[in-house]
Amino acid sequence: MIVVEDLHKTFGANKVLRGVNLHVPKGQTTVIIGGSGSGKSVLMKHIIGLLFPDQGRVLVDGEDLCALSESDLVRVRRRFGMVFQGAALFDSMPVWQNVGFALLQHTNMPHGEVMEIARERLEWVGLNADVMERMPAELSGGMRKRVGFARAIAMDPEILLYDEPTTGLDPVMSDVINRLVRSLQERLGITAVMITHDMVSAYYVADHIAMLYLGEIVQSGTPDEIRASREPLVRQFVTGDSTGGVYQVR
Amino acid sequence: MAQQSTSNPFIAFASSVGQVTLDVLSEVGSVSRYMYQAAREGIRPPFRVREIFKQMEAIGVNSMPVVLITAIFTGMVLALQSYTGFKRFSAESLVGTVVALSMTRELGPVLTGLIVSGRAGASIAAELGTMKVTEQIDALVTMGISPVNYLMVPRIIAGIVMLPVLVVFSDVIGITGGYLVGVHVLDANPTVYIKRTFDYLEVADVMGGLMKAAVFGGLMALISSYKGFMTEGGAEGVGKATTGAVVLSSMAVLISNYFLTSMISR
Repeated sequence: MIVVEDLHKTFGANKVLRGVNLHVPKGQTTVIIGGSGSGKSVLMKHIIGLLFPDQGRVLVDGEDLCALSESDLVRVRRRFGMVFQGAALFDSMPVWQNVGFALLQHTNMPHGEVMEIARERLEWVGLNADVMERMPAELSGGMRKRVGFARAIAMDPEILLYDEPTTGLDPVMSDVINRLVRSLQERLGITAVMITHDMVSAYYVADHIAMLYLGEIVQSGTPDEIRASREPLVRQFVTGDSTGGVYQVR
Repeated sequence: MAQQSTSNPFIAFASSVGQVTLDVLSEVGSVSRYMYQAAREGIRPPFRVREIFKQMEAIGVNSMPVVLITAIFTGMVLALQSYTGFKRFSAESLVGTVVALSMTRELGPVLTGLIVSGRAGASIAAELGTMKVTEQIDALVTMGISPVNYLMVPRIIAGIVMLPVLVVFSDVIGITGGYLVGVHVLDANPTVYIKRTFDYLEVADVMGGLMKAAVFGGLMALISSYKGFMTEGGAEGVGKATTGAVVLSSMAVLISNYFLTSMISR
């Protein structure tokens, strides 16, 4: 469904991506792991066309994002939903407007119907209708993440991108989020890409795991294959060992 | 070799001038690119009427008190200063004329432009800068919504519409301030003062000031939105963007004022 081919990206003197190749199969969850600064977020921004590569390409169902016109890019982006690390809720509007924002912008749906969809999506992520009129600043971190989930699935996307969805959450709330990711995938058959450095989360939600190191994929495989990996960098990362090369200076 | 070059004070100076020139040109180029994009998207649907009205309130209505206070005291001090000067050659009766022409042609638009740059420009840059660093702008893009269309265009339209409105109030209040000082402090004859105020004031004076105000409003909103979009880093980045927006908008008001005045005065 999504193919990343030989992706290179440099910011100033900093080579962030150095030839990434990745295949994201349809209807499955692919998790990209890697240390801080390994290029995970930059890779994800290329997948949804927020950034464009210096070299290489990203294909979504065969369409090269770099070759698309602005309007075609908008059409492709609308197939995606994205859950941001900090939720990225619009703090000037209440929860229901956040969740229904894309519907309000792209459709002529009456407000009542949008509110109904928002209420339903919030219910899917375990929030009740009480939060509908609250402002994002009045929500806890976990609730904000879940509202971010509800917003990402409001337009029934085919592809969901998760940017470190469990970062900054306590273990119980992390588990809630992991189950949510899994249940959305099972319920909606969504193709998902998640970036994380939380291995509990990665093992729980992933059908495939790819490890990014210094801007390159060093290994990819099923969770079991990654768990049994003999690649030193992968072993160091998944076991959380501080002695090794994962944080080698570029 | 490089060390030799930088140790030469002339080359070091030329190099720093060159770097500053490049930075300024690059900034002007980026702002121009956004201006083109905003112009293109401003004439294409969706037209965000609700957002435009919201911004008209933020930029215009909310700036009204500070603009009016500035205007009345400017008119008052202008009357005092011109009276002092004109008294030296017995031309006190022209105080009303000077206050009216100065307010409508110059002080009304420029002071309003500067005040709105400080108040609304800072607010726009801080709001959009915070949206940028908290990924809210990325979220808009991922939902297929153009940030220029959704955030920048309504602010520019609101700036272009509301600055002239503010200037109308500023002109009226400034002239009133001049009248109050002229008549009640300097003992001018009220009828003569009012007659002198309007004898030499032409519609073109007022319209010229309003045209300048519209340009100032558009520039202020464009530059402040641009600074917000370019914000990087956290709170420090938002602070820098806000300061940059105020400085650049104020400079744009002052510099464009000269060229607009020279065009209008022809």
